[in-house]
Amino acid sequence: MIRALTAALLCLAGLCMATHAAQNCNGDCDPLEKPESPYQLIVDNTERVLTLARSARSYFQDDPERYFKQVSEIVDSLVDTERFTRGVMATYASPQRYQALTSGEEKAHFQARINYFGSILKHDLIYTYAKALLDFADERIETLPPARDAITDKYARIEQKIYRPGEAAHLIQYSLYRAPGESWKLYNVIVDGINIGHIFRNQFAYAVEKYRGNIDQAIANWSTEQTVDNWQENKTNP
Amino acid sequence: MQSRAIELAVGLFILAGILALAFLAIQVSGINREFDSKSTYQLYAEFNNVAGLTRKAKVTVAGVQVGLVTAITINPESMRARVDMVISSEVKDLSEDTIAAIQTAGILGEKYIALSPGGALETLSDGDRVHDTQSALILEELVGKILTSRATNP
Repeated sequence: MIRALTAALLCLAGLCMATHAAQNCNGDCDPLEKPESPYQLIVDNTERVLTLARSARSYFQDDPERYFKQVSEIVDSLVDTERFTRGVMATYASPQRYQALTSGEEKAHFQARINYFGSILKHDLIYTYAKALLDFADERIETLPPARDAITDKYARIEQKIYRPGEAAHLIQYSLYRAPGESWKLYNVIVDGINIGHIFRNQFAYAVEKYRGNIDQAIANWSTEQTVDNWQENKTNP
Repeated sequence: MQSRAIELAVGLFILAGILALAFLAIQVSGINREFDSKSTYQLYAEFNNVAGLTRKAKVTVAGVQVGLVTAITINPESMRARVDMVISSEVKDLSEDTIAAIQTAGILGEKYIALSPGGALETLSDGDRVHDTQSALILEELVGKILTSRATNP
């Protein structure tokens, strides 16, 4: 499963690089060369990301921070962090709950909490999978042509099959969202039928129950002690 | 005369037993709850696998029944299962990142759809699609994956 997730992240990275390319055009590029289709984004960039991961093996031991920074940039620009975070926090980040708050202070804290939890999730994603990416070597990746209704104005579902020697193929499904006027961004992944966003959502709901409805405490204990310290700093400076 | 009374009592007892069984069957099948089309809206979702899900299966939010499966068809292009549902209008403001998961209830293994609302700012409305899904987990497939994994990494 970890290997499949690693593969998924690699492909996400490919999508990210394409997103960068589209954003850096500034109107000077040929529109036909802009990889606007989520399918084409993945197809065009998967190989580039594989190359990036392979090249990182040569300098990772000497300069791991450089590698983490590269992965961080990729995740940062590819993933729709707020949408992913709201998806994990689910009803604890819903607009209805926000509207029920009465004071401006409560509303500011509500948004700061989402932002902070987003930074924790992103941090976990980077440090959990960045090292695993280095082991990705002999895989073959096939991006499947999407069905006609798999890509709409706002949503896209792109499927890839990842073949590893001696293993059954892994099916990865990417869920992408495009806000009006913006580029495609990723907000969920399904690996071999397991909806990762759903697992995170259930874990968060369990954590809130465990801490008797205290959302701040659930977030503070979500990850490492280091992130708890950061949360304390952010709480004082939202 | 007394014998006739006994026969009548036995008949009533058997009739009560049959009615109790019928009541139990209706309760277990979940077909007792009808959703009036005037007070519902429709959603649909696509799954890789709906194994065991049937028409009239329950749709729940937080374990509370809020709707029914009205149709299960195959999308001829993607070859995925399309599941149409009606949802009670009392349940409004389901977010666009709601996840529809096929789950199993009770000892009879009855399949149903659990909707898990997210926190997105946009909400679903009549005729919309629930984009995020969690298909039914197939035991044979899981066992197959474990065996393959063990064979590769003993």
